[in-house]
Amino acid sequence: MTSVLPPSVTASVATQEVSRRPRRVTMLHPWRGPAPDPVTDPEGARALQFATVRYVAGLFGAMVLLQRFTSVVLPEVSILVALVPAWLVWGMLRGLVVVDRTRLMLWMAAAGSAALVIPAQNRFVQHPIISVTAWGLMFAVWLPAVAVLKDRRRATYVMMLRHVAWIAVALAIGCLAFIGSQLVGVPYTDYLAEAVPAPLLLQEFVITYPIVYGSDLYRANAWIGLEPSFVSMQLGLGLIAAFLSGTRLRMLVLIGAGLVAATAGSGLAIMAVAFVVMLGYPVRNNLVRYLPLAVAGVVALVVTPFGQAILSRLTEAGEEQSSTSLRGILPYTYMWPRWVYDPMAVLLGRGPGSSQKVVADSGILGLLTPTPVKIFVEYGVIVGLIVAGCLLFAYVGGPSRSLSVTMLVSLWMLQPGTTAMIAVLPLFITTTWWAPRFEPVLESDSATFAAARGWVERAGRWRPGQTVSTWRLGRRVTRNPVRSKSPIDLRRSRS
Amino acid sequence: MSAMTPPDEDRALSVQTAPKSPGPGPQTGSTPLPAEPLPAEHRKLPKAAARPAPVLALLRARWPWLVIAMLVGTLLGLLMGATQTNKATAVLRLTGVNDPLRVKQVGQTYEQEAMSPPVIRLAVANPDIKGTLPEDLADRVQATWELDTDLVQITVENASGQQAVKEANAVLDAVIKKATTDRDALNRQVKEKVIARLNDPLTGSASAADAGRRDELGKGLGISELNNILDALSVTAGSRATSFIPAGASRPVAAGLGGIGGLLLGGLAALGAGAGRRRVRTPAELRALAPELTQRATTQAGEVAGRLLESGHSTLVVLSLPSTPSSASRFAAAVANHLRTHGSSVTLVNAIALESGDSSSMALPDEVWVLRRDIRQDVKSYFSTDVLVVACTAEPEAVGLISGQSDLMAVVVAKEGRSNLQQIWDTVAAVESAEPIVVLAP
Repeated sequence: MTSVLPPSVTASVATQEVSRRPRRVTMLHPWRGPAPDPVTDPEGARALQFATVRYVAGLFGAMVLLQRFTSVVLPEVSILVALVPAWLVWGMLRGLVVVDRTRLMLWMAAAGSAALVIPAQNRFVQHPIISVTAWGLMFAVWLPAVAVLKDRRRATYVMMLRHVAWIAVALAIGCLAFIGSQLVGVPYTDYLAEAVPAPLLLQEFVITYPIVYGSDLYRANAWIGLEPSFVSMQLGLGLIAAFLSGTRLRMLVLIGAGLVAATAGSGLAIMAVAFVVMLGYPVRNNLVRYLPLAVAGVVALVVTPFGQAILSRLTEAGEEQSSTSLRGILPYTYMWPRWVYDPMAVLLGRGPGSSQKVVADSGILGLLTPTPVKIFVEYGVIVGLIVAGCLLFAYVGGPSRSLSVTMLVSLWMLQPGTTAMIAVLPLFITTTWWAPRFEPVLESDSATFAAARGWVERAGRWRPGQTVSTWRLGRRVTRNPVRSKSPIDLRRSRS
Repeated sequence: MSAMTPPDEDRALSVQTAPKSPGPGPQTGSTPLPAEPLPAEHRKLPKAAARPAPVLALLRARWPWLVIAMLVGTLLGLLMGATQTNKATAVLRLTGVNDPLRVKQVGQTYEQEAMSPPVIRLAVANPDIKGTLPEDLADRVQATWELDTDLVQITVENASGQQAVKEANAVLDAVIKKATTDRDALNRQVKEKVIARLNDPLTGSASAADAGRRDELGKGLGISELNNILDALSVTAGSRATSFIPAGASRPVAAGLGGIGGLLLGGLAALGAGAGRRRVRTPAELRALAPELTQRATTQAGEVAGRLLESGHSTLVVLSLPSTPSSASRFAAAVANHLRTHGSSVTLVNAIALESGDSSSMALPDEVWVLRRDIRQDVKSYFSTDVLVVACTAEPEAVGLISGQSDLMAVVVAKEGRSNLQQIWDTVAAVESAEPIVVLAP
């Protein structure tokens, strides 16, 4: 039926109706229904946006803070394995998160077929190594991939990236304090281990170690990091998030310095892959302005022991026992004969947890189990393909191509991250929960930074009186209205 | 299809009116032309876009699938775990090796040694496992050096646990025996060489130096033998196998995993099948599977009548899904009664009643043409009534006449356990402009 009221009246009625919604989205006042249209319901959209950003960034913060803690019930399992599903339930109760049907079906296919193949391995494979706990852990870690956020707008995503960048800045400051304290003569002490009872902390990790053999200087983990490599990974993600969300230059420098202090390759690898991906998109235009900074950074790296320790990693791939080889070459050559000895092992797999057991029994210090090895050795070719499909689908459809590709390279080639929630959670936070995206990928917009500023302003962070350069990234953007087609124009119309 | 004519007394059986005031209404003038019937191949409603039902509701609705899949999975697990094997482990201890790197080398050497054919042949010669074939035993033995220890575990699998214990101990003994034999052989070789050297006459004249030389060789032999004896003791039995445990997943574990796997795959099938072909059994189920629908019960005819009056519309179309003609007729009559109670005069056209005798026929009763927009007005004028209530089957011809129109109100009547969700969605989508209400009849 056609309304007899003029459009302006009906619009105001609609606004009044939705303005009754609570300003905060809580469990008592959950968000019902889909995400609102920000044009017709700006108040509701803003409430949901802030709640979503706080929810996701809060989880990233919790991950950084609690990465060393264990779930008390299973001492060798991280608290994050229990925390993330609980966080998801909380999000569902608040109406911020729903279940993605496609990913749930993929997860069910993977977990169900993997469970069914275990009795078959038991029956047909010669010398199976079966750990039911390993099966449970793997699919518990990947269960949160079935979730999807309601508000997946690019504006919300960019705002979340800014929060992640701020958390990375805090972590970087922690890393710099860690190194600084050692440089002024305070020897490294694991204060967290002294303050917290040992049963509450994960024990099987190399919390930190000297930058070079025999040195008194330890790699930075900000005292709260599980390993320098994980801290480096979080800082690398933070750096990309800061870049994509258009934060200030000083934030980028701080995070970069923290990355160097961690003296681990994982964060740098993430950064390198992300920037290589960006070269394929219009956002590459924005990289040019950071070229002097990058050159200065590399020079600074070369002349410091931190940099030399990092650079030595770049040329070590050929060495048999190098970290790169232990991640990318040796696991495959070592596991191959131990997988193909029995055709049924190839077909059905040797059992959940078998690859880690074989690697642990090898006696090769530092040998890791990359994701492809783990999947196919443990579950065989048939189920392995289903599991791989389920896992790979979690990388598809995110709002940032550089972040999803970098997580793919990191988790499938560099980090043994299939069953480590601390390695997988950044993927959920930056990609999976935001897929399928509503708008083109972030990198397809060469004026990403300007867009980010526009979004920030619309989100209410811009205050009257602030100059344009307040939100600028170390370089003045042209004010020529003819050339400027970015959403920054929206800010002008606001005033 | 017969030609359309205005309702008249000849059709009084299917048209019930309650005119407010008697008197002839305005005549419609010329007989309206009937609309062309749809071609036979179009006699289906267009399929509505897929509407994914809530996941939990779908799983709850298909719970028998889950139970059956879980039982099948459990059965598979039990069958796979039927031939349960057991394993027993004996431990070999390396002694006298202090260098950690050397421990790793020796440990991994003994890993290979324990599974080598000579050791297996030696093991099957043990009277405790008499009759075991070497190749059979070789397939079931596995040796592993434990990281950061001087222990090598020798594990043997066998369907019989006791036999596995004996075989593990036999292999352990065989490894030690072979190591000892090898050392003895080495000792013998050294001894023979020394003795040969001692017996080797000097090229020059015998002198006091010869005695000294013999002393030196004798001492060397003694030291060498002692070293070899010590070396021979570098492998000892750390602990002999005394008990056995199930190898791999035990039978209950296999059954449990099968059950979980079946449950998950059953859930996958339930989600994959979707809700479209689901025959809705209860109003609660319909509400859960299709929360976007406006749903009422047959007992809420009064509420529907009130809605109609509030909306300002003057036409209500009750669309009956297959298998619900009587429910739809009754509901239409009930709404009409409520409308009359409110003081409205109602023309009730029951187009379903004519069909009831020939449910297989796809022919459309003439009364359905009353749904034409112009005739709807004419009927009300003819009978001088306020409201027109039409009950008809949700055939494409009938739905096509009201599709896309918002000047009427539509009610779709489905039947519990008979109508499937896709039929409801298709019909609702076809008359979406009329903001349809779904009524689930018991």
